[in-house]
Amino acid sequence: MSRRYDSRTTIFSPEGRLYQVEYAMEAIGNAGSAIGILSKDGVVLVGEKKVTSKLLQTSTSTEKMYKIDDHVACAVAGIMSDANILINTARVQAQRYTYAYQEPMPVEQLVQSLCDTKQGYTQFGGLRPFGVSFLFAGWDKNYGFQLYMSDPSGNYSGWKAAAIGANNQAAQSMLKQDYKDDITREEAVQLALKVLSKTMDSTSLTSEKLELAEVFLTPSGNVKYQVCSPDSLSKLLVKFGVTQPATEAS
Amino acid sequence: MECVFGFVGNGFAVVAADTSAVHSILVHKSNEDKIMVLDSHKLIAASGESGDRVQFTEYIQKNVALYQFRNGIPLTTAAAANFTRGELATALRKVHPLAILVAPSLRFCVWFVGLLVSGFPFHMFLNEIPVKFLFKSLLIFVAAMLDAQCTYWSLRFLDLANLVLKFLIRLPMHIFLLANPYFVNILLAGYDKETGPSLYYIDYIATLHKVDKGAFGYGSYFSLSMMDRHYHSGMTVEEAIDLVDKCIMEIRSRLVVAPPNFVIKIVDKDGAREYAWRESVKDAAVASA
Repeated sequence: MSRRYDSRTTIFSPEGRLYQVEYAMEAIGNAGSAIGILSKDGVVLVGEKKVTSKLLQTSTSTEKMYKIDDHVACAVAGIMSDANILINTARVQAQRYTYAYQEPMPVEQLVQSLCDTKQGYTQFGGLRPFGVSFLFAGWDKNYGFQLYMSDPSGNYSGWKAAAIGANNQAAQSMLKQDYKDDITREEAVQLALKVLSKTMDSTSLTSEKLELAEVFLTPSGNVKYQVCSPDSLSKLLVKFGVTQPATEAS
Repeated sequence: MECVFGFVGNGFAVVAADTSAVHSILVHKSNEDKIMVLDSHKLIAASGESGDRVQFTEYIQKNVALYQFRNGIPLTTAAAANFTRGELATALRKVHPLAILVAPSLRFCVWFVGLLVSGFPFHMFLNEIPVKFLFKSLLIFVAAMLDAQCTYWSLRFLDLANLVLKFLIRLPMHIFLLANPYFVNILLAGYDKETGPSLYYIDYIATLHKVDKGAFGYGSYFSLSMMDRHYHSGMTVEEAIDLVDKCIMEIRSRLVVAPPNFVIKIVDKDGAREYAWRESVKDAAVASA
């Protein structure tokens, strides 16, 4: 009966639902997952890479993590081509703000401006919504470290720990159990890797299937976005006991 | 004539401005407050064309308020100053889209009238015509001549190069002749938790400087000198007000067209507020009708 309301993003079904938006969220449920954890001295983002063919040659070192501005980065789950558009608008917004005010854009404002774009595509004629969820990690002088999650409907919310993509509900409940306030950045990395290792479909966790990025303050007080190299990621995996050293050696 | 000045002290910034509303040789009012409280911790003192001044400072004030409503956090003084500068810079080069259409016909009219009245004794009326207008008319005339020449040659020989040249002449002339900047000079004082008090100098051609002391108007010749001589970093409020009074005294004693009254405002950690008035003339009370 509600088939009639499937094809239009802009029309409510009689039950008051927007099917296209819900389908978009469904699409993200199949994408590689990403986890973000807020710690007292930084924000940690971990992502699962889905495509790992040996023949694949990617131009960038990261496929799920993107730097938006010097103080904000995001992890993506969903349709990458849609995400590229949104990441571009986010970067433009951040630079426009800096141009107008000569100050870095507050993180929540950046997230909000992006979500306004996403919302627009759920309301205005004949388009499909963006099939992307984001985790934004950033720092600003007003609210310090922040982690935000956004979905295709254009909703966003701030979190201490959040998961998007495949198995996000299982990950979310594990995070809920294991998260402690005043966690350090290293503990956050450990927790994120642990949760991801348990919710991922593949049996063994290797650095090829993972991405790790952190946003933190340098001793001089500057915000830094750092992506963990595959080598040090392998070492971390062994150190935290998520994978066995033997599997890595083979 | 106008006097606006201010400087940064220890934990506060002070700005003072004359309060005369003047047109030509007439004083219309001597209690016109030229220092606007921009938000809880910012002051914007402006001098310049009085209509522009009110319009522009209100525009900035409302935008700063809008930012705060939208984002729940106030703009810092530095951000507000850069925003203000940006707005001035935009206005400086902005040409109304319709002006492009109007300009050629306008220029033709001026050129045509110019031809008709070329024997007219303009010099007799020179005092009545603003110099700026004459200057612009002259430029319009020159541009129109060039324009007409290009049109003629391009039509005659279907010459593309001349046609291109014509538009190359037209474009910068339009921008130059029809841009309509706000004629306001601004001292923006504010207090932020992280950075403390600060003062920004912004003029109508969109210059922005962070300064310790700054001034605009005829009074600046005297107030800048006094501040150069007596200002030092870390002044107390008493010392600062004393220096403001010295500046006012100097302006009143040395400037031919000195304004009678001044208002002094201060911004510190407790907010922006009016501090005092220095009046030598009071507006006569208006009898109620």
